[in-house]
Amino acid sequence: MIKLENVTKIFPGSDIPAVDNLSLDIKEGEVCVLVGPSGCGKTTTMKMINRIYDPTEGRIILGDKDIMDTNIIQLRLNIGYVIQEIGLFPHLSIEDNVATVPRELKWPKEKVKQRVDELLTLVGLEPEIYGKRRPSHLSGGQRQRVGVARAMAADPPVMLMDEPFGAVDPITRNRLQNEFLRLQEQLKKTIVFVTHDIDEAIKMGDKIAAMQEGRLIQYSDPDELLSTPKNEFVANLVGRNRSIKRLHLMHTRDVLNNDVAYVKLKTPLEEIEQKVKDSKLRAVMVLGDDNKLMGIISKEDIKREKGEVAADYYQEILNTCTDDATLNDALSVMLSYGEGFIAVTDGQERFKGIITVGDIFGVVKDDANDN
Amino acid sequence: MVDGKLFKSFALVVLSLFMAFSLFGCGNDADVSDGWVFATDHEYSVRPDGYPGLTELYGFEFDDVEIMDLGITYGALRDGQVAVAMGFATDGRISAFDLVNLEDDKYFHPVYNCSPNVREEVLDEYPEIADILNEIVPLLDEQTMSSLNAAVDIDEKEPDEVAEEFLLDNGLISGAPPEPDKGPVSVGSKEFTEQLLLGQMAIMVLEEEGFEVDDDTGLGGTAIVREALEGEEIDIYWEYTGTAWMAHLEHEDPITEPQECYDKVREEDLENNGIVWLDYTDFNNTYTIMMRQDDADELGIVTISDLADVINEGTPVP
Amino acid sequence: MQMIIKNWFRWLGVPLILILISAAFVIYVVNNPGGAMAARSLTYQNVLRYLREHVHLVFVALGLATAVGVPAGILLTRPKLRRIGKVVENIVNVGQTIPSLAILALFYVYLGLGFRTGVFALWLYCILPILRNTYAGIKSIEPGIIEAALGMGMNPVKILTRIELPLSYPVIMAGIRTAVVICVGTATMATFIGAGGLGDLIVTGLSVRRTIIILTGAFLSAMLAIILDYILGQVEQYLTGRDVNS
Ligand SMILES: Nc1ncnc2c1ncn2[C@@H]1O[C@H](COP(=O)(O)OP(=O)(O)OP(=O)(O)O)[C@@H](O)[C@H]1O
Ligand SMILES: [Mg+2]
Repeated sequence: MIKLENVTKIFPGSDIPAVDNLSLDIKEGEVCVLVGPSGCGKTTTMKMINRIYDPTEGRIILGDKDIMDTNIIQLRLNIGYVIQEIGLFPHLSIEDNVATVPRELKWPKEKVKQRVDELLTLVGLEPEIYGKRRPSHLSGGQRQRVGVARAMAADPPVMLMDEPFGAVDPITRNRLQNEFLRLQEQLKKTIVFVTHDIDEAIKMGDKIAAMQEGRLIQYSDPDELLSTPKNEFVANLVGRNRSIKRLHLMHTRDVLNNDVAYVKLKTPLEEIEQKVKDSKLRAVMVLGDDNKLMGIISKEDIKREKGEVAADYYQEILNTCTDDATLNDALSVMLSYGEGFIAVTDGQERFKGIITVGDIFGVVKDDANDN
Repeated sequence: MVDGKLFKSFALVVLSLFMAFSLFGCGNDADVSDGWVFATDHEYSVRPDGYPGLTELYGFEFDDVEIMDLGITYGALRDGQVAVAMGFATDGRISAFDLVNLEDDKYFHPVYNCSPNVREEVLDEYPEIADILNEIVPLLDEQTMSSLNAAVDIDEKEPDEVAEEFLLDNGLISGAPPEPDKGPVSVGSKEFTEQLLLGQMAIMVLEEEGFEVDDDTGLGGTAIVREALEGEEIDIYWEYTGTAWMAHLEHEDPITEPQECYDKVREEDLENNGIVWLDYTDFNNTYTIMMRQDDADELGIVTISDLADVINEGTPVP
Repeated sequence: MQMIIKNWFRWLGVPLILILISAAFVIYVVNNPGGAMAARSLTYQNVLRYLREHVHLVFVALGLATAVGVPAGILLTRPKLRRIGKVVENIVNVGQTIPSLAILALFYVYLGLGFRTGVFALWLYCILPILRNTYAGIKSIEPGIIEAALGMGMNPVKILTRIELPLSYPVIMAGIRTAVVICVGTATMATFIGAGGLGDLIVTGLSVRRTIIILTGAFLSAMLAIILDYILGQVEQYLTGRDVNS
């Protein structure tokens, strides 16, 4: 979708290139994160894509056209742009800011209004409350969200985002990142995302381009970047506890343990006793119709007689997660409930298996051995 | 679309302001009107012995009056921006610019003959000063003073050069370097050309006679120089009879007869203020009404009465 | 529009009161000139004529200065002219330090006397703050804002009209208001070159030592400056103050 071919940018009055012979291929629907220390040329690379700067050498191809051959206004109208400094228009209300591009495109009034409300809601800003405000009456984080909403307004297929979550506290940042990922799941835009925070890069990126002094050092998916950094620079960039970082990357479905005892609601007591005894966990899962996870029966639960079947004995289970959660999420749940395992379900609460602390340690240990 | 509206109204405001300004501007462009326009300085425009009295006595009205700095009325008249202007009778530019003084045939303007003023105490100590200065006085008729002024204003010579040349030509000084054995006395003057010239002349003839002289010429306006004399900071300066009568002695009604004015001023100033008036010049640096020589010739205007007749007959400006 | 009607007092009342005060003052001095000399100068006819001439000078000079200063200031901020912008800004700042009388005298030498010379000198004098403020106002806009606008596909004309001018317009207005005050004051100097105005009163009063004449000229010129500045201030507030939430 976006292809940079041997792109070099030398600013007038400087001898060192800000971007040096950089080639990059970004596929449609992918999030490509440019990451690297301050001043390494991330912003410059990005700005060449919507021709805020023109490359000194090399070409950039968007879709199948050289961007130099596209009408510059058309090009920019089709690229959502979130700049590092946010750059909201201070004299316009939030609504008017978000409506900028749709109005440039001469959308009908009704449609603009609808779209603005939709977007503000999407980024978690109540249109009724915030729509008429001026940017100066918003917090830094709210402004950044408006900046993102404004860039998405006309639903551009390509988005350039320069540290869009730079100005917010870690908690809000985490929430915004999750919202962003959830959105991207549905929208499947092609996104160039700049950050100097490697954790953010790993979390957000389908591909990561690690840059140093204008050059592209490594371009690979996050897992590969973590497991096989190309050189010292990337290894340093990624940092020491790479294996723990991988917990962010791996999903519960990847290490799921199916070998676990379960019973149905109608299963008689003797069978339950037997299964609990054999189980490593000293407990069995109770499944309802369609494998729906109903609860758990442990050794203690069957000590006193209450009835005939599993339905009379089971307790609700709290330490669960879905199969698209990261291992990091799973580990936090385990730790917060003080349990050594976690039950994994799919989106419809169907039981998929369990993961134990041991399984997670296994992943980290594998990794440590690789190094 | 607040932004668009904001800009539009902004542009509109700027535009309408401009339009209003310009329309208002073009509506009555009062630039150099045609007809009998009179150029005057600020003072003359309101003084009883100025424009208001003049038109009343002669019985006519100009079409318009342009008020401006005194120094530029001569140029305005020369350049045809006005038809008639006021000035001072002995100004060098009158002849240089081909202008002509209209004769004040009804003796409207007060007289302003010039005379050296000396403090009584100084004259008591050095009585010879009176004779020394009185030697210059008879040489100064209107023609002479006017051409001396012109030498400074038009030919751009220095006042002391012009004064020295004049005194040498008339044999009042020898050109030898002064050898002071008396004094010192101090000579002041106002700050316009004629006063600077007269001041320099007084200094030179006094030095010729062995006085040590402090040069305080160019002190400032009338009031300042007069205060300096009364405050004994200077001993001598040239004053005009009409000015003293009205400004210093504070009389409301001007006197238009030279000898009468001189006598009254001389008597009163000596009595009240201890200031001695020496002889007075023939030249009378009074207000004058000027026209371009060509225009005056064409319309046969010599006196202010002639001008009044021409204007009252409705004759247009040539 | 609604706002104008709602705040009729601020729009009309205050200027009206100022005008009434001036009128009362004029009526008083014309009827109590305190002497024959001042009485000759201070007639209704004269005072109104000088006032009209003064307003005339100020309006024409100011209108022309706005019409030239704002576009020139905008032009200087365009990328191609940015280099000379700095130079022009410096020249303008130095130009402001030349005494107004000197400018008048200079133009008198070349253009002769009268209204046109007066307007030209005044125009030159009040174009400076307008041009400087327009230039500074646009230059002071955060580059990020302009870049965001560029990135969203606005063309330079739209950026100018939708972003740059609305954002810098309080500064531009401040420049125009400064120019008004300077212009009304400086126009009193125009009397020296025969361009008329309230300066006629002030200088006449000075030369015949009649304080009341000086006072009348000075008072009316100050009132004129205050009224014009006030009206422009209202216009400015009307155009920026429409944000209900602020
Ligand atoms: N307009 C410009 N003119 C000249 N040099 C520039 C310009 N913009 C950036 N540079 C230089 O180019 C280099 C790369 O800058 P760039 O803004 O791309 O860095 P970055 O990776 O985005 O850094 P950061 O994380 O701090 O935003 C820097 O050395 C910078 O000084
Ligand atoms: Mg950057």
